[in-house]
Amino acid sequence: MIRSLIVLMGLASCSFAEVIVSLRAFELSRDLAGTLTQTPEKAYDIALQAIKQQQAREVETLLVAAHETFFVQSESFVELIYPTDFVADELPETKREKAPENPSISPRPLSYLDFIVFSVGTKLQAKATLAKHNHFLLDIEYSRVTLHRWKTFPNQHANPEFQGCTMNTKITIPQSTWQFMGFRDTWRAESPVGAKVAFFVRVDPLN
Amino acid sequence: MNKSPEPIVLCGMKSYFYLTALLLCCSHAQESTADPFAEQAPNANTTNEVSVPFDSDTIIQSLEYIKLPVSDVTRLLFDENLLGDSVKLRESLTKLIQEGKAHTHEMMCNAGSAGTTLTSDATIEMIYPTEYEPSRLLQTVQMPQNTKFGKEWQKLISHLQSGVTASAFEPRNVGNSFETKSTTNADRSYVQSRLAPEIVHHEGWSYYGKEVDHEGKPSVRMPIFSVLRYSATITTSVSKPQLLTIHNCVDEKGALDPSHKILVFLRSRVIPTEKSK
Repeated sequence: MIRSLIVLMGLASCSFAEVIVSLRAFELSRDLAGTLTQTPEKAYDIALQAIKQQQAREVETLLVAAHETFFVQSESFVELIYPTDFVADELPETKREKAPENPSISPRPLSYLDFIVFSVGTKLQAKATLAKHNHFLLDIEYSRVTLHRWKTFPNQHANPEFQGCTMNTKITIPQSTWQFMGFRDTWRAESPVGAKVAFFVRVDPLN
Repeated sequence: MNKSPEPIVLCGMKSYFYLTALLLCCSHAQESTADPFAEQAPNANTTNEVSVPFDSDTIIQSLEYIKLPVSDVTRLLFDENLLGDSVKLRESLTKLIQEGKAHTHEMMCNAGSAGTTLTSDATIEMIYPTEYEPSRLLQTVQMPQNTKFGKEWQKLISHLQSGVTASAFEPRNVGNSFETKSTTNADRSYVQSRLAPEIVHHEGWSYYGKEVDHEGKPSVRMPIFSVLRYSATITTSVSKPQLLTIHNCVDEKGALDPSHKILVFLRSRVIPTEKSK
């Protein structure tokens, strides 16, 4: 009897216990991004229509499932280790196969002394809490770091240049509805100048 | 009048004596029953061990990492609206795997008693250098006695220089690890889990500098690791797959692959013991 009561109480309390937080990002033109800003309630439909007309493309799709009111974190990244401290060698290079093209700017090879680890990839952290009238209070943090390029200096040392995109916010959204979260600059090098990335999030209850 | 207090005092002394004797007996009895095996097992472990009851259920949890194109992910999740139905989603993925459009990237499984923390690792400890000493002139060189400083001079001078020397190292576990702590409800229809799986792969090397080693490769090199990590608390139905998260993929060059995604599924099973049935 007591065990049955506990089960019933547990089932009643977990009617919205598990949630799925989804995130989608679409790359589109600057003009289209302006349209989304003016009509945020229809932004998702406009973005989907733009994808069908090949005026936009999906650049990010992430999802996490977890217990309500608990933080969930999902990461997928590459650890890039690159030098941060270097000195000129005491000796000239002896094993060079061919002569340097411009020996005046690279008199000596470099020795790397110190390195740093940098995570390049994506991270999604979220916590959804059930609010009144089938709304969820969503605490979401999304970050994406990409390697933009390697910048080479005259002494043949090269440093990486990273491109970051973050979204960290708290917002109350209706359940099972895509919510426009604004846009950022694109991280794709091959994209046209001025392209933007529009973010949408959604919370769905499980069970 | 003066004799009256003496019997009371005597009586009080007697009662004090009997009370003290009684307390001594009680305390001795308590000491003897507190740890009856203390003298018999002096080397017994006295730390606070968590005892698992013998009648606790066994929970088996498996994780599947399925890799497939992004177009199929968006089609299944959003166009066909399988976001909240992981059972149908997993069946659709089975068809894609049979058609060769998706494949299982990784699998992990843990089994243990309910309420205990389970950890399983399958890793290789990879040791890589984190610091390098620059090239230097050698202080002494052992040369043959009959050496003639002629045409061989160019070859001999190269031995005067030490190459780049790795001077500090760091270990890194490459492989997968799966930590979980799970419990069930009374009728064993749900499993609540706290999960922390992690996959670390060695994708390759990044090279720096132009000095080469005896194999002709640059001497200064650093490993590229890819990491897939997820941590959450979630309640799932027993024996049904549940989509946990979507990971981004990493290509062969160590960069994010925008064309593929990895879907992570959890499936839990409960084996009740005879006593708990």
